[in-house]
Amino acid sequence: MKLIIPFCVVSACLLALPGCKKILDVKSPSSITEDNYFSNEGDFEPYVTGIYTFMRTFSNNITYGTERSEELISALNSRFGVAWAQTLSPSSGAINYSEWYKAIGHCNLVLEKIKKFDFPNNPDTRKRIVAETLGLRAYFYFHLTRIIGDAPLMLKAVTVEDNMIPLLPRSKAVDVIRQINTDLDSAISLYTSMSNFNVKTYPSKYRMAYGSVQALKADVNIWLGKVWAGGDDAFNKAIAAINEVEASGVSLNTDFRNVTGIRAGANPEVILAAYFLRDESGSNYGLNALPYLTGVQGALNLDSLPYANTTSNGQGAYQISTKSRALFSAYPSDKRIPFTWVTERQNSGPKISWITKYPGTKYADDRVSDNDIIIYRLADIYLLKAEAYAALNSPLPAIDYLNKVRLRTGNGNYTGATDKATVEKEILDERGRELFFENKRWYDLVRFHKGGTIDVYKYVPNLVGKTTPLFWPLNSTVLANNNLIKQTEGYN
Amino acid sequence: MKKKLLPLFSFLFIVFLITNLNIYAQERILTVSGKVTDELDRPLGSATVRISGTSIAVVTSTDGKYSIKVNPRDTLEFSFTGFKTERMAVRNRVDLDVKLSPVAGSLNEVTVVGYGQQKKVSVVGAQSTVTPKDLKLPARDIAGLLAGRISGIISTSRGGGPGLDNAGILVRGVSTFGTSSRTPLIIIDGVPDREFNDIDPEDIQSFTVLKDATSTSVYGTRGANGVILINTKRGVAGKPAINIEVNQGLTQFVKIPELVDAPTWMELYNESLTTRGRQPFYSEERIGWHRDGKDPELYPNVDWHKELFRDFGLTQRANANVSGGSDKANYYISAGYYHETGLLKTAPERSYDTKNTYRRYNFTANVGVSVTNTTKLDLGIATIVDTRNGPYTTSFTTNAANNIFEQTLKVPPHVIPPKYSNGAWAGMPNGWSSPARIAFGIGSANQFSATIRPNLRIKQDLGALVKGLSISGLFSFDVYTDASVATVHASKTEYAEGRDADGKLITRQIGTNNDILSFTSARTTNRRMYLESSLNYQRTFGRHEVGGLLLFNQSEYVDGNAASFTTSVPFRNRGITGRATYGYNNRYFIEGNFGYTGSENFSPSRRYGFFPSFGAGWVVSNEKFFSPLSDVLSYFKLRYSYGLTGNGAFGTRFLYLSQLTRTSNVYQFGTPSSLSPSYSGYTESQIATDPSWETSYRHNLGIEMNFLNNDLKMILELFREMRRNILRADQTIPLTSGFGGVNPTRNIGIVLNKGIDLSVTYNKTINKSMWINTTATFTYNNNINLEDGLPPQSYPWMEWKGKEVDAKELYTAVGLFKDQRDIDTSARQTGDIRLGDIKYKDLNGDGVIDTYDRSRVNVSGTPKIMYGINISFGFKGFDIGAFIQGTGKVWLLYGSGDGTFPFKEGATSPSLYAIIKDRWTEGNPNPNAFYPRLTSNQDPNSNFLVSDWWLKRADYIRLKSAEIGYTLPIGSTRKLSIKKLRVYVNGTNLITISPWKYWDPELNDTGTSSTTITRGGFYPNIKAYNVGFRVTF
Repeated sequence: MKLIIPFCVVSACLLALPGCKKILDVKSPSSITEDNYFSNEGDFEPYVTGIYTFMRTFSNNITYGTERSEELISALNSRFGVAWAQTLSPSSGAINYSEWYKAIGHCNLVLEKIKKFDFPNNPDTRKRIVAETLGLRAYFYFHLTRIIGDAPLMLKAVTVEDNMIPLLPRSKAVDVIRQINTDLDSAISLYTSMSNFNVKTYPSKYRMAYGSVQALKADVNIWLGKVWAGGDDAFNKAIAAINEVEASGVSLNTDFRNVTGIRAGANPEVILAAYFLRDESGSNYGLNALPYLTGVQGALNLDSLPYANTTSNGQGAYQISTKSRALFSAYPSDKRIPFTWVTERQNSGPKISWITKYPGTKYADDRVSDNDIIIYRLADIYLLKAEAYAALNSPLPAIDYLNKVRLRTGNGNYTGATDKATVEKEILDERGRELFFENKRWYDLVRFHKGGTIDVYKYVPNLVGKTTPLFWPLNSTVLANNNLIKQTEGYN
Repeated sequence: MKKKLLPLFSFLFIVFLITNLNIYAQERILTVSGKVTDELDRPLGSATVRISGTSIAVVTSTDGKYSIKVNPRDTLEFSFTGFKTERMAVRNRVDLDVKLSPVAGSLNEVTVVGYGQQKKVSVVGAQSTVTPKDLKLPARDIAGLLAGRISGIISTSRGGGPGLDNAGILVRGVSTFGTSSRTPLIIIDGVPDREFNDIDPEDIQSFTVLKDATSTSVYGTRGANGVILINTKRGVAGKPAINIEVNQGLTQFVKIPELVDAPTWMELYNESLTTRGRQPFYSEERIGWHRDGKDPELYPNVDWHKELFRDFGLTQRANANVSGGSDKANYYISAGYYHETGLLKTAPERSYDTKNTYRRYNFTANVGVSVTNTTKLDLGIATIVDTRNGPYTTSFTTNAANNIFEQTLKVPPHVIPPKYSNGAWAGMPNGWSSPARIAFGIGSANQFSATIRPNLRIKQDLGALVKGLSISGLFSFDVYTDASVATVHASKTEYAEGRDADGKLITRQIGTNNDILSFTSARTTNRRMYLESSLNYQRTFGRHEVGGLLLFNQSEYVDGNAASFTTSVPFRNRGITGRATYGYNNRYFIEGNFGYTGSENFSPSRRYGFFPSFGAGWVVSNEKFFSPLSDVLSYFKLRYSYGLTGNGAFGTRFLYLSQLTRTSNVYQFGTPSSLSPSYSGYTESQIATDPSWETSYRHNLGIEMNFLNNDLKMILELFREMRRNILRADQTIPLTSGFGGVNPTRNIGIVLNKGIDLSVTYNKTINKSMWINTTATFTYNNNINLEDGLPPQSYPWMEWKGKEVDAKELYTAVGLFKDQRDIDTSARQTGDIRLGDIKYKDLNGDGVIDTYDRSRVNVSGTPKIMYGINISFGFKGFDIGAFIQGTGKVWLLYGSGDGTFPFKEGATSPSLYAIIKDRWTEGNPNPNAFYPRLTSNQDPNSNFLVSDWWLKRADYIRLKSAEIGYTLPIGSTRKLSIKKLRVYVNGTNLITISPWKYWDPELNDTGTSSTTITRGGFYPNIKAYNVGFRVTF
């Protein structure tokens, strides 16, 4: 019986094991989960800030705004894909739109979650956050519909508890634009209802504000008018929106150099821009246009070339096309030329015409392509207004606005014919000169093609002889994911 | 030799002295008493205890106890029907407890089951074993040796070089999807999640695979992929037995794929241009310069395999172990050594050592002590230490051996020599550098790892309370650590552009060089704790045998190098397990098991799962009515099991929590985050769902039959598994949801897996000097995806549902274009299409070959059939054995990439396999050629779409091992006090027969992606020729 003691001890110990504390109840591995993220009013501001990263990403992507236009040709190496070559097909260069809907989904989530918060002490803050979010959602939908035309309209926040996430077909582009206008109008009424509302208030040139929402509205309606036959109503809406922009206190830089040379925050001309800074965001798309030192070695005008020392800061991939340069041929002393391109001169003769629109910042160690990317600036808005007037068959006010832009170029006032077609062509050419490499050209060409000013299939060299549709195809992931989605017209 | 044995003899002598001291004790009469038990510690009543050489004997009582009067010099013999007779010298001991082990094949034979042991006859689940002796081959990884040895196991070796050639193991194939774990649970000495690749096979006592529900449901959420149980050796009572085994071998690659030489490459490039109406690129004169080799620096013709690899490598294996003990204590102590030198040449240009070697040291000790008559304590400690040395390429996680092998596919034979005569490594302006530089000239790495795994088990018999009841506890704490150091530099590369007037090379430097040797290091560590306590009950009441088990366990794994907060949270499991068994008269057996297990990975409400199972067995041959048949069919058993098990191992943790992470693209408008709140924004990186484990519903029918007086045994298993609730990202959620790429994961997948395992053994001792042993196994399974969480596809042939889990997405090739009319009337294909190009089937008939013409095809790189046959034959002292292993229903998708896809970068394209010589040409328009009409990047076309044109059978049958041994006659060795001495020669992977002749067909893809391709770019598997001896003292 002496054994009873050891075995009692052993048995007791072993039986005690299961009684240990609840080891499986671990603490939440992340301090932030959806359930506890939106817990107070202060949580919305950072979340909305995060959504701006999508705006920065989209505005920095020149595949959609530039590559299909005539603006660029390759320089030291080629970075172009099927968009530039105009060989888009369902299996090559087709779009998976999930990134756009991710951005839109973030907006939807903010709009849903903020419903529970009244911001009793800061009603203006709540209005601003909602207005900015609506402005962003409008921006994303507008960006998307310009690329794919008809697009599904997803306007509600999805949480996982929803087992029924609607399968949406593509809504007609005009319906998408109608929704964009609704969002913009809601945003505008929210801004104007703020207690301290002032048309001239731009809390930040990098965020949606009253002026920038109006600028976006103008752009949207001219697109609607030209591309989707929105009629005079659309152009009138655009003109009304531009009137508000003009009243918002922005003004042209007298020196064209400052258009991209001065950061948006201090730039009187800029209405909305995406913020870039070397250590925060890295380079913008200008990186591919800046030459690298070994690539321009021996240039006689090396000092005036926007070269970077290393290929990580300048990739030397594109230069301005001869076709874009030809837009200036009537104006050899256009003051914008040095800030648009500079031709590299070698002993053997002229070589590459390097783009100087976004020359980056020269730091002690190297040049870094970190200019703010301009989304809207006043000269762009003036030309949009000219375009709207011309479309309304009012060439004279159109020429007025054209001349406002020509003022600082040294080219003098427009003296050409004043019929609608000629003025419209001149506006397109002026946009080509003024806004070169600002990621707008393809959309301009589509508008003026649809408006009958040009035939884009003859105008863009790579499109000659092709029938590639103006909108992008959707890729197989998108189509497989939702059988209500039909391929973009022209790709079947 | 003699000098080396001296310490051994001294050691032996001391052991002898200690054990024999009692011999000189005074003669007297003793009363010896004790207990006779079986291996399950159940008392054996009516066993005979006899004093050797006399007729004095007693019989044990029902509780196994006996008492007998003896002389101290007497020896006692313990015997019982069905058990091996045990002899023990008394030597003044008065307590002699004896455990009898059953005669093989008898009804008392015991086998390992989950959390314990059972009589073999009573097992109702599907499990199979391998003889550990068969795993003692000149190879590091025992997992790679299992193929064809055990029914139910699919094992695939994918090469990888010394120390990195772990094989993949599956039990009964694949029944799950995507990132869910497919691999079985490994349990070593009762402790789960231990790595088994590096166990010394010498130390293995038993190796058991549990395959069905009833044998694995006790493991709950961890059992669905099967379980492998390994127990290491323990000492047995008796004098110290010493075993020493040493062997030494030469290794070779199983197969080296042949590459084209420089003139051939250049001529083929010319052909790729001329056959499409272009001018040739290389002049005949230029090709001639490469062929004649007069200036190998400017016009090289390099065989990169020859430059980098030797013909032979080395393996060495050695093990020494000693075991023994008394009835109160036993021990097994073993030390093992494994060494492999790879086939990579060594020519370091600096002080570092690039020699490609692997060394492993195994130390194992298992000690058991009876603390009291009812308390037993076992301590096992295993230590594995290994060190690996070789070149360093890019990072420690990059397998340098594979990387260097791939380099030989990358750089074509005609562009650069390995090194220029000026001493500089050759490099190309496009970024290639000489593979020799990467192998010898950029640095070396040395990696060291240590695994220490102790386990302590205590077992207390509670027979004093309830007869047959015992309680036991197990605790282990495993630690793994590794450390890697590398010496690296960026050696200079140059490219020769010509020769000057004096014939001196004109070179220019490529890239930047940094010849300062720098140092880099990395280390990882992790630990694992396991705790288990159990109540066991075993008792026989007449014809009724009753058993029960109730077990609690918990484990914790901590990754000491967690890179994120999420992975730093300990991984924990906890569970309660139970079993009840009942047997009647060795005829009818029923068994019920359950596992109730949980892990921290699921939400509190869905944390624990209950997994019951049930099984029944009927030994028909023990029925009275069967006796007339027993001459033919000596043993016949039917058994069936059904039950649930789970699989909770998934790539992502805490799916029940949404996670928001800061967007990587911070947006703070330039405000330094130190001055203001950093506005980087948040984005959902994981969308919460409330998933749980996947559940397997398994049926298993087993038939066991022995013929010819138990000489021929057959076990046939048929199984059907339905795996439900497989975790899949729900792709039916539209992309407009805004979830972006992170679709929520849900329990949606369903897979059906069916198959057969068969094993047949024939063991016969024909006469005293002649025996034959044969084992054959066959494993087959086939899975079908019944639900995959994908939305309906545009066309039925694109559906994955109804196809295999690893089915590939392929275009259908219908042959090569025969004539222009054929091209004109066929669906449009992109690119330059001419005769001899691959023609695809336009499945949807829209006149265009595009992604809608891809279909899911039931092929994968994981074999569906695996079989093996092992034959060994002994005559007098000689023994000879051969093991033939094969796979069936396995395909290889010849991929497009370095070595396989010709001229996609024009004149600076990668090398090519010599199989390209078998191609369609205008001169020889062979419709069955391996390659279609050549093309280059000048005329891209659709020949290299992922299509079934490139799909090849990769079944193989190989002489996996063969061995001839000779055991010296005892008389000749007794002088050296040697009990047994055997010398042998053997070899592995000696002959391979396969329709895929180009490289080792086992170097295939791992099959988890529908478009996985294979290019043979692995350091190949090796074959070994080996001599050795084994001596027992």
